[in-house]
Amino acid sequence: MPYAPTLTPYIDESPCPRVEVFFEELHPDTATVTVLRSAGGREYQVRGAVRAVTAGTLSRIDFECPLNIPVTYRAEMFDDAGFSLGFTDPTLLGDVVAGLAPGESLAPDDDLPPGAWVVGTGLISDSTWLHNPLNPQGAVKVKALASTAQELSRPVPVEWSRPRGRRFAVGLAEPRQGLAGLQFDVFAPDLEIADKIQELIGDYSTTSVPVICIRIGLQDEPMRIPRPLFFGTEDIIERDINVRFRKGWTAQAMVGDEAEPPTPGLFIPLLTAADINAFYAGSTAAQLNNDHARAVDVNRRYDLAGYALQ
Amino acid sequence: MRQHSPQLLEVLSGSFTRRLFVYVFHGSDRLDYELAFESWSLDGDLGSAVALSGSGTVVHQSTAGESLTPVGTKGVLSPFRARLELVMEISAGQFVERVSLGIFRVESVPEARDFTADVNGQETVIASRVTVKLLSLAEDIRRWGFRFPESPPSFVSCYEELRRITEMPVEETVPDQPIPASTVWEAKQGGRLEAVQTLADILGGVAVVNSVGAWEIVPDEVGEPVATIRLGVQGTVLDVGNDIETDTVYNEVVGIFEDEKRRPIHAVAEVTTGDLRVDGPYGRHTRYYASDLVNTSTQAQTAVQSILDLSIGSQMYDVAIQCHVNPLIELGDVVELVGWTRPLVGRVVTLSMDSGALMNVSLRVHRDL
Repeated sequence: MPYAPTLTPYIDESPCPRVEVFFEELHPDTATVTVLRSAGGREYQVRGAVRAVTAGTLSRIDFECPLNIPVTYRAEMFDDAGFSLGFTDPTLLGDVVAGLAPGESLAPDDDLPPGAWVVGTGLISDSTWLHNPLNPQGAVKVKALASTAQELSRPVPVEWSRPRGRRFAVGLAEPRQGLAGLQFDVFAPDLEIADKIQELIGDYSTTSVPVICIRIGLQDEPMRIPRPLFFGTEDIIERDINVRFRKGWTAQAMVGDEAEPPTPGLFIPLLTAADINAFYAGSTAAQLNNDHARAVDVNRRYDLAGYALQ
Repeated sequence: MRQHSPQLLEVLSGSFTRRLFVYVFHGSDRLDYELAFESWSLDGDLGSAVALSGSGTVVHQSTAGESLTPVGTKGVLSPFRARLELVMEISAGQFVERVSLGIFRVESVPEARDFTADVNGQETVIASRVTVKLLSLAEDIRRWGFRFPESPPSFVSCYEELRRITEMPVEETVPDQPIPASTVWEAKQGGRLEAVQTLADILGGVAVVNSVGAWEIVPDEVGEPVATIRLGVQGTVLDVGNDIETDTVYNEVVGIFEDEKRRPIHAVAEVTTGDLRVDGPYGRHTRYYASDLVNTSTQAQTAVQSILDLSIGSQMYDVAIQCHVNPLIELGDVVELVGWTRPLVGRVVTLSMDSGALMNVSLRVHRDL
């Protein structure tokens, strides 16, 4: 298959479930690529991979990958004049099968071999995750309350006009909008989680765009909101349940509209040059070269992410 | 009338969805942006030197932290380089069609603001909001003067001269005419645009830049209609003005002249038949006329008669129409109003549309007397 990406799901919580999208090879004339993720009937641009400059390979961590549903990744390649070179083949992150012999993989329409079973689909997570797309490190695991998403409204801005001599009104509309006035309430079992939720949209010292990426986990299914939902909200209102009785429970209530994810071309790296430098601080360049055959292999040392801070 | 598919006319007579966005051009390069345009308006007046003007607010969500706010002479929306193409997309179900409203010069940026957030510890631009004022490409010609007074190198064709002095494409809408031999273009502020209008006068019309960015001559006389605005079952008209003004309708002209020996000459012309006759119900409405060029009684009689003919002969009046937004109607189009109390054909002399669902046009119509 030409240029199909390799997908590696990570379901740990540092900071949140994510997928590495790795294009090992691209069309030789490729100068920039736009990576697209389609899931739940919608296609989104992958953060950091909007007309991203490439030299033949591209690796991105997608923190916005929806949970527990089949997800497909592909990329559109552009040459240095900005003309499209077409799409790469897609790769599906589908059913996750356990019990296979090592090295064995399963085509989507194959029957399960004996002793194998499906443990889940796509990027598996029990919990619902919230994070600010510009700060995935601040991701927080939550549980939706019963008042969440009880009403889903997607209004159309329309003006009903009654021209002279016409019996019926004529609708002069603008395109239908995304979710509007969505109620999203989550439960925070302790004050640490409550603080993390509050910090999603900025605090006293940092400025952020109040857009939250919401990914629904298995325990909050079924919920008929977009996968993922980019939720623009003015405020997160904290309601005390029993903080005053030293139990630390709060409800965090939000009302907002579906929003565009801010600066989709901006990649928020987990792994930085500082991490690599810190890990190889006592070594020589030869040691680094010895460990990695290609430059892209250094770029993909996601196991070292955050090493500089340890 | 702007180009369109036949289905679009049907779609525009019913319910439809519209969306307006802008493309940015630097010179002949179209930049890779499709920008939302908010609170926009577009006003056209065939009587003003630069016929179309507009304004609006560009809203851009940054892709990788870039800003659209002009800095100095640089920046995507800098008035020193940017041209905007306004495109209206009309859709109804599966039907989608885009209509270009024209290319405009960014004349000024009265307001621009960036919105920022902290990303990886750096302040990064998340979105920009830039208010722009637009003018038709005729503004390019208004700003560009002649270096010294010059006369056309060839007097054969007005269109050739129009192409030469504007360096822009020209659409030949009326028959070509030779240029009078004494023509000289003046070196003064706005001189080139005045030269264009002089050529248009010779051709018998008004020069405007149309929506494809070419000069065209809108003829003075109302020709065959190219567009239809309807009332009734398929109608889109909310209001038709019916404004009759008689202040300039004179039915008696009194001329006061002097002959060579400064003896006074009086000459009178009046309407004696029809609804405007001087002893009829309209009454008398007298206009006085004086001229140094008239100094015989024959000339005096001819002069007052021609003023009277001018006053009642070809009356023009404007009909204001409010209708559903129709991106196909351009300034200078001849439009037929169908289904009103009487048929009406007129030329669009003013036009204004904005982010709302309605637009206003006024048609210049001949009144028969």
